[in-house]
Amino acid sequence: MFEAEPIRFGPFLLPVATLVVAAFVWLSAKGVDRLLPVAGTSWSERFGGALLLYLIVYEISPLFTDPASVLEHPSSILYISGSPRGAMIAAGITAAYLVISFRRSQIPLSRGLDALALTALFTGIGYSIIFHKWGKPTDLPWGIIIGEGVRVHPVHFYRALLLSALLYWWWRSRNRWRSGETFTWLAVAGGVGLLILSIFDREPLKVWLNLSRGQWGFVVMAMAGWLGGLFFAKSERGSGYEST
Amino acid sequence: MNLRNGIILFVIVLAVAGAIWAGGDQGKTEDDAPAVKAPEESTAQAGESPSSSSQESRDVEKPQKGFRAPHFRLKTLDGETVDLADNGGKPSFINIWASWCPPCREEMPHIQEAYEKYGDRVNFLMVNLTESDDMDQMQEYLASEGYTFPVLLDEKGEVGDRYGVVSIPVTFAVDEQGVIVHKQMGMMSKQQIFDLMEQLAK
Repeated sequence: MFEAEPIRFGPFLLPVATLVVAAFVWLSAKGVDRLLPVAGTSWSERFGGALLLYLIVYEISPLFTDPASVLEHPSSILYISGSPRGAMIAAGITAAYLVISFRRSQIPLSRGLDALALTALFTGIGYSIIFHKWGKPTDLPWGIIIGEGVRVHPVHFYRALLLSALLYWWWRSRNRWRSGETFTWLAVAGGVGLLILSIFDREPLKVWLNLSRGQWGFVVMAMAGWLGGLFFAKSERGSGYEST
Repeated sequence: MNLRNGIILFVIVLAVAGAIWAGGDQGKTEDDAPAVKAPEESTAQAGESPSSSSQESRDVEKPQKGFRAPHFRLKTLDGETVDLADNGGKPSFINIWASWCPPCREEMPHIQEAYEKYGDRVNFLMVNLTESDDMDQMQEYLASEGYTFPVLLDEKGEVGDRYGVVSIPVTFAVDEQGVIVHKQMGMMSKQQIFDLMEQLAK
């Protein structure tokens, strides 16, 4: 297992976690190309492009909220790094890009979101297996000792288990679920499950109502799934997938 | 909305309420925890018999968000000794920098501005990597720009080592309990610095 931290490679700094996520997104989407095929569409190209857009917008996001900073020091554009607010802006722009791209290619939103959810699920499993995330101290026997004899919750392991269980559930249900239900169920169960697991995590910076940014992200994910369920049930009832 | 969707919504609301409750409970525990401890104190406690509460308060030093900020004690340019543990009940803003580093210099004016506004509520610990910097050039640079924030001298590179610094600038925001609440690798814009200050100072 590795730390999700950049590593020095000669004069360069490699953002290992970002590179691994990018690789997983591409590989996962390649798998989704086979599992949820839509004629004339390559999910790997589409989601790879979306990820690239996200990373670029995230990196330059301080320009949107603080352009004067760069006008005063033009060279800072070379060094500036993204922020949590930038991550939200980048996520919004990337979501808009995906919706527009689905519409242009006449891909139903439900199918696009299904492919996105499954890609995110594979990526989440891979990431949780490769990078460790230590949680709060615990006396439980499966806690992992990380220093001075202190045991902590292996949050990455909990996440990998949860997401693998979701993958198993999806695999068993995939021929039964209608278009949009993959997104609905994975987002609801994933959001609620990850929110519960976050109780064991260390997220000291609470932004609102005792919850951190990451926890609110899981709430948004679950609510998006719930709203998707309401919407798709009305608009696309009966549009199922062929067996794969 | 049918019964199934109602149940799903109920489960989501229940999970959110549980997380909020757990977050509040965690807040109480952190309030009861002692401030940053020196390494020798941590080592002494490590030998005690483990229990849930002692482990919670003992905690682990790691240069990562959610962990206790690695302890350090350094001299400032003025010859004073600054101990991270002596935070006066205030959060700390640790910025690791060097005068030869362009992005460090880019963010300095914003940090100075933040220091003037929040210096009474936040401890500013500007850790200079003196081991790899030129002392005279660094002092000349600070004087020419008129920076007044406290500059700590990492003459042996121990803070750089303990905080796993592979590139600069790097900034750690540490709450009053000594826990790292934010880590930022790379240059921060003025907005980012002031947003962080608002979160730390509230």
